Parts: sequence; C-alpha cells; structure tokens
Amino acid sequence: MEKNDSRPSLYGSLRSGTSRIAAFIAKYRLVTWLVVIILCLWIFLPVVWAVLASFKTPIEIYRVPLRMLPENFSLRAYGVVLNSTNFWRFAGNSLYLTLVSTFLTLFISIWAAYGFARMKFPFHHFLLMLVLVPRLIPRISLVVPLYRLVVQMGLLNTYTALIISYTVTSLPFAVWILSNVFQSIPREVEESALIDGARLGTILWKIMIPMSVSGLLTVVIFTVRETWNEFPFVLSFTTSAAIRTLPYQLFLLRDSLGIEDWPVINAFALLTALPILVVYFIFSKRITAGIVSGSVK
Amino acid sequence: MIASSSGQRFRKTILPYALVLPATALVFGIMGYALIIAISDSMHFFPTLAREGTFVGLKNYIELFGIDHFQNAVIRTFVFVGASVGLGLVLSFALALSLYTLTRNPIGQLVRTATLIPYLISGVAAATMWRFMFSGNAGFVNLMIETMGGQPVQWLSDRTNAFIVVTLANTWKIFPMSTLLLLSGLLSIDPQLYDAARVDGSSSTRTFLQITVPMISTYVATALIWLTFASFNMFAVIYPMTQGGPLRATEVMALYMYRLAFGELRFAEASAVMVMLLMVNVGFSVFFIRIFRKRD
Repeated sequence: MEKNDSRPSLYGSLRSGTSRIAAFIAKYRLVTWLVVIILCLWIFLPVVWAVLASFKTPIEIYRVPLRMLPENFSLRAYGVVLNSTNFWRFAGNSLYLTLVSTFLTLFISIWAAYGFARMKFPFHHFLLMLVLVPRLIPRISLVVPLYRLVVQMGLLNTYTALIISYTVTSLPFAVWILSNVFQSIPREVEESALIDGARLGTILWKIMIPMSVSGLLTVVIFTVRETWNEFPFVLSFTTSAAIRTLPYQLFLLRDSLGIEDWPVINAFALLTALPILVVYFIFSKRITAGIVSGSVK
Repeated sequence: MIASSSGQRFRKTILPYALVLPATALVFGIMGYALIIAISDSMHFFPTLAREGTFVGLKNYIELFGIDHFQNAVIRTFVFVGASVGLGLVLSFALALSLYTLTRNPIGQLVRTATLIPYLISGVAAATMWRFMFSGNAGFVNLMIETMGGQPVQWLSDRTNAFIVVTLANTWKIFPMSTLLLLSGLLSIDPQLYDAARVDGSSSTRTFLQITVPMISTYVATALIWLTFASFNMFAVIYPMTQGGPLRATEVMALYMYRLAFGELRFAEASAVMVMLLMVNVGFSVFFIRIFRKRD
C-alpha cells in the first residue's frame, strides 16, 4: 500500500494513470485473497475439524451450539488409539510393506532405467513400451484379476501377494521417471569412469545415484504414498488381522462400535496420515517439482 | 585379451537385457497376465467358482447392459466423473491463478505447499474426515445448521445428498494435484507476453483466454487426464464412506465391479465391467491428448 502512495509523487504527471493501475491491482489483490481464503477453508476445514475433534471428549462432539475449540485439550482419544490391541502390529505391517515395496521398486527400476537410458539393444523401444504402457491400467481394475491370480498361487493372506502387487504397480512410474533423469545426465560424466574399467555397480552408486537425488526422492514419495495409503488390494487379498494395515483398520473402525467414538476415529485417521505428511514437509521443495515433471511428461 | 573381449561382448549383448528384463518381466508378466485373465474371464461362464468355465464370447457384456444395477452404475459414474472434473477444474484454476499472483508472497508459498495435503493422505482417511463433516449429529455442517437455528439435514443416508457429498469428497481429494499442474503451467509462461498484451490494451479476460489457456494447453490436458482418471477409478474414498449406498446411490462402476466380484462372486461379469472401465479410461486419455496437443 505504501508503494502506491509514493508512486504518484514520484511520477507527478502520470499520477492519474498509475493510481488507476494501482487501484486495479488492489482490487485484483482483494479478489485473489478472497479466492485463496475460500479455497483454504475448503481444503483445510475437514482436516482442522478432525484435528480439533480428536482432542474433544465424546460428549463435547455432539454439543449445540457448535464450538470449534475443545474445552480442554484431552489426549484421551490418542491414548485409546495407541493402546488399542494390535495398533502397533498394524502400524508395523504398514511400515514393513511400505519399506520392502519401496526398496524393491527402487532397486529394480534403477537398473532398468539405466539400461533404457544408456544402452542400445534390439527391442529397446518395444521393451520400454511394455513397462510404460501399463501405467494406463488403474490399480482398482487390477483387483479382480490379481485376486484370481493370488488365489491360484495360494497367496491369500500373505505379505508376498501385497508386496508383489505394490511393487509391480509402482514400477512403471519409477522406470519412467528415472530413465528420464538418467538421460538428462551428460554422458561425459561417466565416460572417464567407464574407460577406467569401473564396474556398472560403481558407476550407478558413485555417479548416477548422487546426481539424481530429486528424481529418486520423487519415486520414493510416490511409492511410499501409494503403498502406505493403499486400500483395495489389502481389502481384497487379506482377511487375517495378522497382516492388516492401518488404512484397513481405519475402515473397520466404522462398524466396530454401535455409537461411533468420533474422537478416537479422528485420532486414528490423523495418526495414519502423520508419517507421510512429515516426510512430505521435510522434502516438499524437491518433491513438488518432481511430482509435476513426472506427471507432465 | 580374450577375457576382455568376451567382457566387451557381455557388455554389449547380454548386460542390457540383464538390466532391463527384471522390470519388464515383472510389469508385463503380472499386469499383462492379469489383463489376459480378465479378458478371458469376461468371456466365460462359470457355473462354479472353479477355474474352468465355458466360453460364451461377448454374452456377459451384452447381458450387463440389460441389468438395471449396471445401468445405474454407468449413469452414476458419468455424472460423478463429470461433476468432479468440472468442479475440480474450476477450483484448481482459481487456486492456481491466485497462487500464481502470490508466487513471491510467503503465505502464498505456504498455501501452495499445504495444498497437497488432501492428495497425500489416504483415501480412507479422507473418507473418514468427510463422513465426520457430514455426520448426522456430530458433523460440522449439521451442527452449523443447528447453531443457526435450522433443522439438521440427512446427508449420507439420503440418496441425492450422499451422492453430492461423495462427489465433493472426491473433488477435494483429487483437485490439489491438478492445481499444482496448472500452476506449473502458468509459471512456465514468459511474463513478457503479458506485458505485450497489456500494452496492446487487451482486457484481462481476453488475455486469459487468448494467451494463458493456449500457452498451457498441455498442462490443462494433463490436469484433465488426471482428474478424469482419478475419478473414474475412485474406490478408496467412496467405499469407506457409503459402501455404494444408500440403495446404490453412490455405486459407481469401480464399486459395482467390486460388489460383483467379492459380494456376489460373479467374477466373469466383474471382469467384463473391469474391461469396460479400462477402455473408457484409455479412451478419455487419448481424447484429451488429441484435443490439446493439436494446438501446439
């Protein structure tokens, strides 16, 4: 606002013209902020409402007139969730599946991406298409045929079925991102190492991987998000509580009690979302760029 | 010498396949096989749950079109996707344009980072939050209405309202990603173009339609593909909220397929729905790419 006041005095003769523009910008700014505020409400209200509810007592939840803030921040709901039977078992299952699937995805896709990015061989294009085109197949449509496959192989209620499903559905994206990233690294960088007779593993580990950290982070956050949050596969391929994951348990919470204990349900939902949000906010700058470049290409 | 030349040959002929084949075999082997199973299953009749069935060609597909529940699912899918994509595109354009003008503002940057929260949390968690927002006696919306003296509304137990709430929740979950796509499109435009337009006296609406939109058409196409793809295949938000109910009001094709397979154990019909869903997905992606790539 100060700028608008000082400008007319600097450019005396242009006064009326500039102030009109300034007024236009000011009007525009107001609209912009209004849009941002409304959309922020739309984005954050469900989350904030859930956060506040998780600190309320069950009776407070139903009180009219509505009050946003809890009377005194009660940690009861979080205590109930963290001490509930099997909570840590479910969290452990989610973590295990996420770590193993992400590691496998990275390991397999790094080698493949290097091959596709750097080497010429017969059927190069054809093999690349075989990996990339399945990206068009949505996960949900794989549930039915994969279920038959899982039954046939006797893998119902196993980690293996889930790990394979998660890895296979994450690979197309990973190979795609990483082969693009590897291609953008100049060949000269590795040529000297190749002449020295360095092994492929050394080249990947010492040159390619350190030079593509952003791309790798993108692949990691995508795979972790998909695996940690995954619901239809775990719903269809498992029945036993021993390998149940957090999203599945959250889903089951809805009919475990006659009257829903909303503070507990919300606390559970927020605890399951927390790890991924923490990872995202730590790396957000690098990840956002990667997510966009990954979707556009 | 011999060792090194054979090493050379290994590098040239075998190594590429050793690197590439594990990924190819896994992806194509399993996803391709699953696809073949689905197509084959969709053309069979299974008298029992055993694998062997009799080949019936396209009979399952043709019969599906005569089933009311299938028609219901198809119509609801298209309304659901149309509404989600329309609303999602408007919201993400509005937010992307606002964030664009606030690129250098710290609050703008913070909002931009936090916008992705709905995208990052799980579908089940999103469903839980939205179910709570619209819950009959504890939800924010009804408590607000009651506080202002109104009568509470049946949200998730009413057919029309449940459909609206589910569409809103879906839009909420998927629009952050398209916002980000559009924003990065806007940021890729050279600001000098706007200066030129301003000098020519172009109005802001004209500038938007004649410069901004054509310049970012690839990004708009990608945003549209994302919104359509995500909506057509949305399961994790709808199922935990309503399980397709009340009375199939929110049963879109993905949920109908799931019910056929796991509720009614009719895998042949479920596979036929899956194949159709897949074709619709691919069709729409190709459609958007063609429309928007031509202009470049």
